[in-house]
Amino acid sequence: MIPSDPHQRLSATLGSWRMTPPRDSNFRPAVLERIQQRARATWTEYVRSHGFSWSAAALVAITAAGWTGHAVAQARLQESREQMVVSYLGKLDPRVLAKLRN
Amino acid sequence: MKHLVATLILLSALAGAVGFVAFRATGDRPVAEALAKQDAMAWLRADFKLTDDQFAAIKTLHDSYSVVCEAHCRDIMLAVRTRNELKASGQNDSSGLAAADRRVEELRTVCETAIAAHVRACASHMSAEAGDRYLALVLPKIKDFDHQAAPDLQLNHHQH
Repeated sequence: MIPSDPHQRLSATLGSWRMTPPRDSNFRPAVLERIQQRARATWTEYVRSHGFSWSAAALVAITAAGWTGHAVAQARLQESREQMVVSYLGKLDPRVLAKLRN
Repeated sequence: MKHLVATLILLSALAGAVGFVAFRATGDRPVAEALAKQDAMAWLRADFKLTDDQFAAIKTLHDSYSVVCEAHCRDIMLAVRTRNELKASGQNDSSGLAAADRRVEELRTVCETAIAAHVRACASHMSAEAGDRYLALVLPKIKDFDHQAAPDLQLNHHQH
């Protein structure tokens, strides 16, 4: 007896549906081959396959390194400059010289 | 995995090299050399891009100011000694002590004014931008320089 309710018909159809995929004897060797191929890839191939990610990483790393190098150099220069100003004024300032000689 | 590690190492090396180059390339070599040598006049010349004429004019100003500086230094030392002797004498001369204190402070103010005028005169021989930068560096230090000593003064005894 065929049920009249379309929902019941669908459930019955799905319930009786059996899938029998054809057996692929090459499936396992193909997977292994793909894994081995990945392991055999050269560094260039690896970088090329991740081109976008590594380019972005390189851009960020190089920008950060350049900025850091510049900032550290500026800070060191400014620190030396401050010390120089103190030394320079020390030679010009009678108040400091008077203290030194006391 | 080994490609990932190799790429990370390469990228780190590249970033390190870029950072080093940026560090070395930043700043002005003559300024850095003058600072390393602690040569104040060479630093002035390099950092404020003085021409030969500007440098000569500022050097002349410094030389003539050293005479004023010496006189002020002597006056301060004398005033401080007088005040200290008055304190040490144990006499209860509060008005005399106050006057001696005032004298020391007056002389210090005179010095501060004189050195500020001197650096302004030096700045007037520089380009406008260099002069402003020079004053921005030295004027704030002059304000409270009385209360601190230059870090290298023990090694750098100034003789007039």
